[in-house]
Amino acid sequence: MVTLNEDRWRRYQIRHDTEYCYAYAVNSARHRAHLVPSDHADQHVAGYSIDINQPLSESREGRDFFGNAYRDFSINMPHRLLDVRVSMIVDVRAPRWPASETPWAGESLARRVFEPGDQAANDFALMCAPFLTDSPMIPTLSAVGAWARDRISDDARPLHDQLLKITRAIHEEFIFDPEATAVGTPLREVFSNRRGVCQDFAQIMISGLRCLGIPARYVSGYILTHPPPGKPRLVGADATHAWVEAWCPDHGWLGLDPTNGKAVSDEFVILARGRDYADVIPLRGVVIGGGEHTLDVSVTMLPEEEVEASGQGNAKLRQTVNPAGNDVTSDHGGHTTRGTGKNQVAGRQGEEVR
Amino acid sequence: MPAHVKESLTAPSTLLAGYIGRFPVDGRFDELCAADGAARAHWDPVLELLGRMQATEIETRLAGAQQHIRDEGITYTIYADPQGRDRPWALDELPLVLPGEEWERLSYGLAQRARLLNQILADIYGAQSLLHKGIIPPEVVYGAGGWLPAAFGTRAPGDIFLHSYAADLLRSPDGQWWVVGDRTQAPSGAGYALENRLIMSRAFPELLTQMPVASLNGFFTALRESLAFHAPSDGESPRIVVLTPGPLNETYYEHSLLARYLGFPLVEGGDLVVRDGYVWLKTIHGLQRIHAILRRQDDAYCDPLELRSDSALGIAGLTDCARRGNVLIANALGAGVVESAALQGFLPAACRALLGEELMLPSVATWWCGERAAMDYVRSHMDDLVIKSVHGIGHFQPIFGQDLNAAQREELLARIESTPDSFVAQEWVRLSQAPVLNRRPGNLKLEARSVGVRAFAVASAQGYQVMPGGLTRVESHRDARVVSMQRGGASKDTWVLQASDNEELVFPGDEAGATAPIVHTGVPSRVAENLFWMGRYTERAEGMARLLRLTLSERLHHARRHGAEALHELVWRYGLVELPKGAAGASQIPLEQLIRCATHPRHNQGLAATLDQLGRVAFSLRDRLSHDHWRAMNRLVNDQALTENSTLGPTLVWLDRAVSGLAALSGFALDAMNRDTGWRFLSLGRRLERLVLLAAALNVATGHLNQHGESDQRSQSLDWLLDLTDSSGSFRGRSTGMATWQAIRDIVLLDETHPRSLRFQVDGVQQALQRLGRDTGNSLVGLEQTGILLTGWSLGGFPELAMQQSAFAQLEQEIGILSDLLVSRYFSVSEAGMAV
Repeated sequence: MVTLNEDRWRRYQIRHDTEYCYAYAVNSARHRAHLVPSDHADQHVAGYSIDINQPLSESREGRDFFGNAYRDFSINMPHRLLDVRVSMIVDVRAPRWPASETPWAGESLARRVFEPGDQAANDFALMCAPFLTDSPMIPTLSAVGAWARDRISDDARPLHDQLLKITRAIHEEFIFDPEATAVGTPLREVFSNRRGVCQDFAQIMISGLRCLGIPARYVSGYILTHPPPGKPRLVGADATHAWVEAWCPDHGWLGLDPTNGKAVSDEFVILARGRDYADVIPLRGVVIGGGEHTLDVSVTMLPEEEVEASGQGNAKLRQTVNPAGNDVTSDHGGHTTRGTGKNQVAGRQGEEVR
Repeated sequence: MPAHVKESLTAPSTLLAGYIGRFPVDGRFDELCAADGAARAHWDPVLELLGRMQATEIETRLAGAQQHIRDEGITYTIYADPQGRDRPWALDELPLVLPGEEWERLSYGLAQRARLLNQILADIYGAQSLLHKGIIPPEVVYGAGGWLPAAFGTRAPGDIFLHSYAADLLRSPDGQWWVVGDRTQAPSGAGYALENRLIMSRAFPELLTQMPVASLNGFFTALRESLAFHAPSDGESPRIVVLTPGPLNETYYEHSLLARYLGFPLVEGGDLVVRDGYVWLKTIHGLQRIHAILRRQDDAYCDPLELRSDSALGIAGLTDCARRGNVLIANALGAGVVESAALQGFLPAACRALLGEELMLPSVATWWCGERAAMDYVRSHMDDLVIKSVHGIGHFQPIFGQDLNAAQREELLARIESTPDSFVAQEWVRLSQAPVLNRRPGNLKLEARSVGVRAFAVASAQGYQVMPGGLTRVESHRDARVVSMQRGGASKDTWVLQASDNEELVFPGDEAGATAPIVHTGVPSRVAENLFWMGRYTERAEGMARLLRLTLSERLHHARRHGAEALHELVWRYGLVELPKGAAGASQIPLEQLIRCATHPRHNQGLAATLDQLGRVAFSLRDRLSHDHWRAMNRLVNDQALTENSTLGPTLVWLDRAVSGLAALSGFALDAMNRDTGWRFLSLGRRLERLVLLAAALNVATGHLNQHGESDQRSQSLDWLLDLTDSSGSFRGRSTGMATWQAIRDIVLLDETHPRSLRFQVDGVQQALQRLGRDTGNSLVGLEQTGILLTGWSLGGFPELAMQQSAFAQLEQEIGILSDLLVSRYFSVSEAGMAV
C-alpha cells in the first residue's frame, strides 16, 4: 500500500465543463471559478485554458489567502446558458510517504502552551491555525472526534499510519450515496446517517482530525477513475473530487482520500485547498434574473497514453494557454453522460470511487 | 461625609427618599449614591428638579415621552419576541449622569483603544507582524469567528479599517471602568443615543438647558466628514450611502435615523451593484458610483460571492472592490475579528508593540484557555468566571461558573480541555447600579437596576473622537449579571457634564443638526418603487374608507334604493370582499362583513390590511419622511379602531377619522416632501390608484344605467357616485334636481378643474409620464403605447366613450398594464442577486 516516490511523472489531460441552464434570461452574472490549478511539489501545470460561451464584461485572475489561483468573471448580457469549459494538461507524481517511525500516542499537535518568543511553535501556528478550528462548513463535532479516536486508540504506530486507518475507516463505514446529501447538508446529519459523497467524507474526516488536534485541510481536484474490466472509459463521466490533507510533523501535508480509503497517489490532480468546501467551490456565482436553473457538470480525466490512443486529444490545448475563441471542439459525441448538478463532487464510474 | 456629597438634600421628596440612603447594597457601585448612602454631587440638579416636582407632574412628563416614542414609531426588534417588529423603544427617563473629568479620562482610553484595534486590523489583514512575532497567537485570530480570509490584502482608504467603534463598559464595585466587549463590525446604538437625547430634551427641557450636558452632534459631524474625507472618490464629490439589511433588522429604526441625520441615502444590498471593480447605486437615472458605504450589516452577509452565499442581503463582488481600495467600507470587511474575547488578554502587549504606549482602558480580566497557565487558573477559579466561546454567543451561551454543580463543572472543563482554543474565561464583575423610574401609576418610585454603558468613537482627521455620552443599558431586573437590549432591557440617556475649565470636551457642531455639505445621489430604484406604492396604498386606503363609509350609511338609511345595490357591487368589484358562492347579487354582503372590511386587522385586502402595507412601505422610507408626516402616518396605521370585534357605531366614527387622516397624509405629500423625481412616482401611484376606483365606479354606474334603461334614469339615484367622488357640492352648485347621468358626466368625467374627475387624473398621468421621461432620460417606449388609450380619453373621446361600460372595463385593464410597465421600466433593476 505504501507508495514510494519514484520520481515518475504522469501526464493527464482534464476537461471540466460546467453548464448552467436558466429558465429565464439572466440579466447579469458575476462568477468566481476556483478552477485554476497551480504548480506544487508533486504537480506541474503544462497547459491550461478556460473558455466561456458568453461575452465577458470583466475577467480577472487572482490568488486567495490560501494560495489558490482563481478567475473572476462577469457577464452583463442577458443569457440563458452559461457554459464554462476548462481544459488542462497536468503532470503529477506520487507524493513521498513519510519515513518517520516515531510512534504517536494520540497527542494533539496543536500547541497548548502559548509562550511569547517560541518562534518555532509560532511559525507552526501561523501555518496550521486556520486548519485546526471550526470553519464555516466544518464544525469540530466532538462526536466525530470521539469516533476518530476510537479508530486509532488501540495502537501506537506512527501518525501517518494511523491517519491512514481513519481514512480507511470512513471508506468502510460510510456508504457512498449521491442521493443522501446536498451541498449544504449539515455535517452532523452526514455523520449520523453515515452516507454521502466525497465532499461529505472529506469534511467528516477533517472535523475528526481537528478534534484530535491534527491540522487538516480540504482539497478539491480530480481523481483518475478506472472503468470496469473490459469496458471503455466514458467521456465526461468523471466528476470533481475532494479529499483531505493532514499535517504530519517531520513530513508536512499528507494527502488522504477517505472516499476511496487510500493515500493520495499519482492519480490525483489538485485544483485548490482551503478550510472546507466553501473556500474552494469550483464555480460559484450570483445572478440577477434567471429563475430556476439546472447545473450540469462533466469531467473527463485521461492519462496521456489514452489521449494518444483514442485520438481524443486537443491539439489546440497543447500549444497555447488561454487560446482566443470559445470553441474547444465538440468531440464528446453522443455518449456524454453528465452529472446531475446536485452533486458537483461525486465520482460515478468504476470501482475506484465508490 | 465626603466633600462631594451634598448635605442640603435632607428633605427630598418621597420619590428620592425611597432610594437615597438605602443604596448601595451588596457591595456594588451605585451611580447615584456614594458608599455612605448620600447622593453624589453631580446629580444635584437632577435631584433638585425631581424633588420640586409633584409625582403627578413627573407622571405626565413620562407619559408624554412614551407617547412620543409611540408616535415617532421608535422601535427596536427583539428577535424572539412574538410582538416582532413593532416593539417600542424602551427608555428610562432618568439619565445616567457622569462628571466631565471622569469621562475625559475614559475618552482618552477609548480613543487609544480604537486606535489600537484599527492598527491590529491593518496588521491582521496585511503584514501580520503581530502574528509572526507571536505577540498575538495566530490561533486567537484564525480561531475567531470574525476572521475573514477574503479580507486579506484589503487596502483600506487612509489605512482606516475601524471608522466606527463601540465599547461596552461596566463599572466594578471600586468605581473603576472596564471594557467587557469591543464592537467593531457595525456597532449599533449611536443613533439610539441620539434619539434618547431628543426624547429627553422634550421630557426635561429645563435640565438640559441648565446643566452643562455635552452635545452629541459633533460626533455625527465627525463621522460624516471623516467618511467624505477618506472616500476614494478620484476627484469626484464623494457619494456615500448607509447600507441596511432592511426593515426586518433589529435596529432598522436606527439605520433610517442615521441616514436622515447624516444626509446619506439609505440603501439595501439589492440597490448596489459591482462593475469593473467599483460599486454603483442603481437609480432611476442609471448607475452612479458610490465611494463610501457606512454599513449596518454583518461581515458575512455583505458579499454572497465571496462570503456567505446564502445571503440575500449582500453585493456580489464587494469584497473584491474593498481589496482593491476602490470603495471605503465603514467598517472594513473582516473588522469583526477583533471583537473576539480571546484577543482581550493580548491587547496590553499589542499596545506596547504597535503604539509604544501602555493600554489605558483595560478589559475585564480575560483568560484565553489556549494558554496552559490560563487553563489552570480557570480550573481553580470557576466560581468567579464567566465562560464564553471565542466564536460568539451563537455557538455557545455564556455560562457562569457559580451556577454549576460539581458534575456540570467537570463536564464543562472536559469540554473546554478538548478544544481549549475555542474558549475564554472572563472575570465576573458585579455590575454597578443606577436608579430607574418604576412607573406603576400612583406609586411612582425609584428602583435600582444593573447598568452598563456603550460608548462610541469615530475616526476623524484628528484621530479618534469619542462621543461625550453614550447608550446606557439597563437590565430588566435588579440582580442581572449581564446587560443586553436583546434580553429585554431598557436604555437611558447618558449625560456627561462638561467641566467649565475644560474646552476639549466641547465638540464643534451645530445644535440644530447636521449641516456639512451633502453629496447627492440619484433616487435609488427601490426608493422610487416604494414611493410609487406608498402613493398607491395611501390612495387605495382613502378610496376604501370612502367607499365603506358611503356603503354603510347608504345601507342604513336607504336600504332599498338602487344606490345601495350599486355600492355593494363596487365593494365587490374593488376587491374588498369576495362574493359568497351562490349569492344572488352583491347586495347580499352582510353588514358584519362590511365592518370587518373596515376594521379587522386580518381581513384580506380590507382597509386594515391596506394600511398595514402602507405602514410597511412608509417604514422603509422613513429617512425621506418628515417627523410630522411620519407621526400622522404612524397614528393612522396604528389606530385603536383596528380591532377584531368592532361594531357599527365605532366603525363609522373610525371611517370619518380615516378619511380625514388620509387627507392629511396627502397634504404632507404635497407640502412636506421634496418634489424630486422620486416624488413623481408617489404622485403617479396616487393618480393611478384613484383612476382604478373611478373606472370601477363608472363601470358599475354605466352597467346599472344600461341594465335599467335610459328612461329609468330619473329614478336611478346616482347620488352615491357624487358622494364617492366628493362631487356633491359641485353638483348642487350647478343643478337643483336629481342627479342625471348627463349632469354627473359633466362633473365626474369631464371637469378639468375637479381633482376627482376622470379627465383631471388622465391629464395628470399623461403629464407625469412626460416629466418622468424628461427627468430620467429613460425612454418611454411601451409607456407611450399604453398612453394611447389614455390620450384617446383626454382628446375628446369622452362623450363617445362615456356610456360604454366596456370602455371603463378596458380603462381598468390599461391602468394595470401601465403600472406593470412602470415597475419593469424603473424598478426591476433593484432585484437582488441569487447565488447559483
